[in-house]
Amino acid sequence: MSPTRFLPVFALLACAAAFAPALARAQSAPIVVSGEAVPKGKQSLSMDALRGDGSDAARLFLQVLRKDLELSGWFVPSDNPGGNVSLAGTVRTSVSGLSAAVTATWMAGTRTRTWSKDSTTAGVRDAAHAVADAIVADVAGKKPMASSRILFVGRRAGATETEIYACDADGGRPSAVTSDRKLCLSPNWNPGANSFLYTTWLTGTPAVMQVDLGAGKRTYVSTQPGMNQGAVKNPKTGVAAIVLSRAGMVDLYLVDPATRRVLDRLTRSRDSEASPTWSPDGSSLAYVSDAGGVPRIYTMALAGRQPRRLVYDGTIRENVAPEWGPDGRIAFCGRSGGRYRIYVVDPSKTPAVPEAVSPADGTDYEDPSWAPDGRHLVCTRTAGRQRFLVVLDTLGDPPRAISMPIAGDWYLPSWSDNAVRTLP
Amino acid sequence: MNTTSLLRASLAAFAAFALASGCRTPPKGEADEYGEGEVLESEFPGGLEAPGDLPLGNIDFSKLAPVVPPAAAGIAPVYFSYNESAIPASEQGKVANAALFLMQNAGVVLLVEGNCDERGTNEYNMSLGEFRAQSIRNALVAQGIDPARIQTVSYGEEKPAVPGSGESAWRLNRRGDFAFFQR
Repeated sequence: MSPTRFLPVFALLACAAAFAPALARAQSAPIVVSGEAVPKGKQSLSMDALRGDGSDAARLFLQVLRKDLELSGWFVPSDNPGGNVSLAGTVRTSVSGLSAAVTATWMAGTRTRTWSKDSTTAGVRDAAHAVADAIVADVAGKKPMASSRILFVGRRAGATETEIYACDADGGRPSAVTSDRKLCLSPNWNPGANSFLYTTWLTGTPAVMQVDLGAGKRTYVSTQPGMNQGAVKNPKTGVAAIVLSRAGMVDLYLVDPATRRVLDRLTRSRDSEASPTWSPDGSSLAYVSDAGGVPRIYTMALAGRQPRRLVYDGTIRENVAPEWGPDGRIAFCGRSGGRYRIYVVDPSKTPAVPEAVSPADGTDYEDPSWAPDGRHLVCTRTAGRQRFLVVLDTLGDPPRAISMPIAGDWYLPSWSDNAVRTLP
Repeated sequence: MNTTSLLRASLAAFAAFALASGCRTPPKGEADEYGEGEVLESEFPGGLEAPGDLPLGNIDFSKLAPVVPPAAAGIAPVYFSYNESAIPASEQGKVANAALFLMQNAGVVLLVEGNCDERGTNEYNMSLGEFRAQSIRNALVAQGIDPARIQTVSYGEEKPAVPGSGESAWRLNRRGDFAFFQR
């Protein structure tokens, strides 16, 4: 098996196309910085004293930083002075590429911190994401997400095959990661975000492969006869939970990714299981089973292995696609009133009451995946015949569509749990 | 295969078929939607085998030549109801035709391809499509076909026979396709 060829096909074009409309909007809409105009839970942030040197690289750095701070949900950036937080400093081109020194002042001038960042010209977006994450962590005291990346399935308009794609958390730098020219599905980041798993029909039947981003190579992880689907690694042990049909029934199994050996079988029911996801401590799984007549989510502790139904809300009869988030809450997709919406539920509460976090707008929202900040989710939105990615905010900011520079369907996203240092 | 193992295989096959067609948990009433603490039957650990298993073989179809059955063989897609994997009575004749074709062509092997309509999430549909393919495989085994000759693959909602939404497209996409190959 030859290594995957990574195709940074339209990255540059994508940056321009994806950002031009967003920037135009941001510049035309004046943001008033005053106590009343800033929504609850956000801080106004002044960027007027953070200056570029007029170079393209400096301009890109400032644009990406500003967008990242806005998308974090904790700041309302503007060029007006006098915000709760003030950024000052310089961003200029250097011998290596770009050199940025950013000083934040907050809590009425009582707190100050400076970050210095040098980067190559190609790494300007990474540098801006890193500074944004530092500001979110240190100034807002929240978990950041700007340096994380999103994997997803892409089918170009008119194509029958799919590939795995990746983009930045802000939607920037979309590019194809695989070039299998077959059906490719279900990308799942591994814990730590240095590699990921996906199912490929490379040989005509499905198998799970692991792509290692640093080494730029891939290896088979599960090649059982029948289906090999939904593989996801345990955050503590690295063992993969997976859906297999090797026994002539669709069941949930554990596979050792290193040896490809089947370690254990978790279900033995004559029903369909799907979509395993691990709890943050690796002790439990959530998954879908239609054992109750309709597909529903169950949780199961590895110790004891007693499946327990998660959702008892009668208006969400069908509930699927669970993803266990970093703070212990489970996001899932529920069918209510003939449409699919995204819900969040805390399984430790009794009763566990799901809360809808996607709008009821006559379109379908499916396949949620948590951002590393535990606040945002990315999901698939189907409107008409088009599928594309949308970022949802569990604290109420409006949904944000991730636009792609080419026509097609974009779905089944997986958001990394960590900063991604090596670009696919 | 000796007589004893043949008998064992047949018994396993019939048991599997009975389970597939008869023992699926029926949908429960609305009352249980508000129930408290419902748990599924305990899933006991220990070993990979379970009663009713009909393990898949490992045929590499990518190395085999496709076989196109003559029109007279009556090979056609098997259609399913929404969210269902049981073969409707009206579709049983198609399964019988496929069984007959396999019996008359001993060197032919079969890949059953399960498919779904676009409703529901991608991952669940992948499992449902596999379950539909397995239902067809079980039914063929129950009619005397060696399980080692039949593999399954699911395309979920990824390979619709007919593009578009609405029941007219959906009913043609909830299907099992037969792909025959020369061993």
